[in-house]
Amino acid sequence: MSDKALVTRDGKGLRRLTQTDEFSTFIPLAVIMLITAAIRPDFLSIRNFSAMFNQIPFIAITALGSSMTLMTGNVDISTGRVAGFAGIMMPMLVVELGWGAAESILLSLACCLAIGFVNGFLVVKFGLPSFITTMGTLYMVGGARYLMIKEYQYNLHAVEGFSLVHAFDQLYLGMPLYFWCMLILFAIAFVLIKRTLWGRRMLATGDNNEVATLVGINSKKMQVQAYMLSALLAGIAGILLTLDMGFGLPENGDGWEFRAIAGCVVGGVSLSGGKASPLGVLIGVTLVFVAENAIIFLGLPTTMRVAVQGALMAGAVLFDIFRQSRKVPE
Amino acid sequence: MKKDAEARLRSQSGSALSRFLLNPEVGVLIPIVILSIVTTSIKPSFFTWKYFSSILMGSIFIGAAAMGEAFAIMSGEIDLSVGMNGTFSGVMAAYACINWGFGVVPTLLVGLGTGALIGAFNGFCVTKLKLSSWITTLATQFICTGLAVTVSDGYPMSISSLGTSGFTRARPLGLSWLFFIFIGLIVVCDIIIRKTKFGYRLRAVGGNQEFAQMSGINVKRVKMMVFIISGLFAAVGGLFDVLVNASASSTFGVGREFRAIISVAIGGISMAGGAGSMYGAGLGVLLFHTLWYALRILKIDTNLQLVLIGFILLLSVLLDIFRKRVEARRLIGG
Repeated sequence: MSDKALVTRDGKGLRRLTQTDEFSTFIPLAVIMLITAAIRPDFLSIRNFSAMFNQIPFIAITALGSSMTLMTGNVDISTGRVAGFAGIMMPMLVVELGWGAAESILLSLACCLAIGFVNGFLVVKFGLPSFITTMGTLYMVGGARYLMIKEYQYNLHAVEGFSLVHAFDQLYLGMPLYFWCMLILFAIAFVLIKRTLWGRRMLATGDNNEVATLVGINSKKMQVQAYMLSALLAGIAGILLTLDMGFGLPENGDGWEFRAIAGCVVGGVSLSGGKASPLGVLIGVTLVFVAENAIIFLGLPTTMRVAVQGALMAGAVLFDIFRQSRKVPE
Repeated sequence: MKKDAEARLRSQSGSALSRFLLNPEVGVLIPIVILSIVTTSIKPSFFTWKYFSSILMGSIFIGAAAMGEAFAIMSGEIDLSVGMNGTFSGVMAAYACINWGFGVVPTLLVGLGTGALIGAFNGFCVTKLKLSSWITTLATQFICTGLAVTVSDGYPMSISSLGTSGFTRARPLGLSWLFFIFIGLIVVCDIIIRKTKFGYRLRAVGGNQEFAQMSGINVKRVKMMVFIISGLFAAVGGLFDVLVNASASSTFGVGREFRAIISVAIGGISMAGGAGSMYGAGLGVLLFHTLWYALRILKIDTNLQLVLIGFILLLSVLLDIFRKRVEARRLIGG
């Protein structure tokens, strides 16, 4: 936070814009898009972009949750399985127990909050390493979602009078409903993190836990809240995917956690905590997808897709460290 | 004099039973015994040498990766690339065998070299570029996956031309030679950790990095070594796969890093670094596989297995915290 203040003080207008973290994520995105479009003009076609944006919102919402835990100096790798959990629990409640849309969504999200609370409680109360703890819940939630279902998939279209799923069939202003849900969630997160005291406290907790405690921030509470938000947002992403597809599959969300974290890292979320911007996360996740898409368009072997994701992530962390070292005045 | 001091320390530190139970290796052995007894009483066929030897032989793959992981975790870092690094090393070894016509020894050396090289890359990123170890090794995991799939083109690569199948199919004492190699590696690891200067420095770095730095230990060099060793063991795991299957495939080591971490955690190696024994880690591998085979023979739902594995992971990490608290209280209380 402090280094940001230093930067913004000595610049105005365009200069200020170019020095924001979001801008430095935007440059590689623009460069990749320009190069790919120069070689293969159909890269910029609407069809290609709408195909990419079919997947981005789900990972982006999960990544927004991951950025909360990363912001407070922890990590949550259970988000993918939690998304799958909520995404199958909701249709299970609807199909098997005949629940309505609202109560089934609310109960699923409440379960997500509980999982997030357990994660946060174990990490904060017992001081367990966050990676290992969430790996434990990853396994437990990953198994539990199969245990609670009787059928392999639940078709929401077959349910009489379940109108919510039809709302997801239509386009609104040319975009599917989950895209707008993503924008709303990111807008809320942006306001919360950048404009409220709560957001400042979250950032301060991750920036320097001890100092945050000294100035009277209940840093333990903030960390638990971050875990709960992370699980909640993952659950929302899972439910949105289920509503979009019209049926729930238990293995939805597998592997989302690392793509989400990759998106966060590329989007300028500092792994040491204390720095995150929802806009950056959105650009970061888009960059990951665009880079993967560009590989296919440029004719590189598709098998290199995962490798590029890894290289992108390592590069982003390196860049973050370079940026930090340049900003801190000697 | 030394014996006197030891005796005094021992008389101070609680009853013999509690000391016995607090010993990390015993802490792993007891659940193995209980698990075996319970499973045998339900399914007597569990307690046969045939079944037990298959547990032992099946544990070498994750076991080798877990040894490397144990080094990494003891030094206070984590290595998420042990699975895919092994896979890529195995694929590279097979590539050298098929495309360059290498013999047995050069092929294995190519595999180990690849593993060490990737480990060195991890170490370079962590020590020189100061990246956090889990994001670095996660990135190398992705990179190794991509490279392994690209090099193997998604197909299994046969290495039957090496003529190693006679060696891997031999069953001395009802086990395989690879198993004895694995046991030998555990013994070597234990000696490295407990008897050598490097092992002492490694534990010091894991225990408290700043103190280690102040006492003149080259922390960066130790960590570099740790990541190279971890990469080597990852490659050993990958090569075990390749030798047993007489072919390399890009799908062998998927998810192995998590299983290695779980084995190490239930083996009593402190997740905070600095403490633990290699025999404990070896027993942790055994416990993980005994559990796995027991759940399978009891026909417990595979998804319930996942829940149990996650639960046991959390339990063992919690146990480690409590063990430390008890020990700390005893040291203070005298």
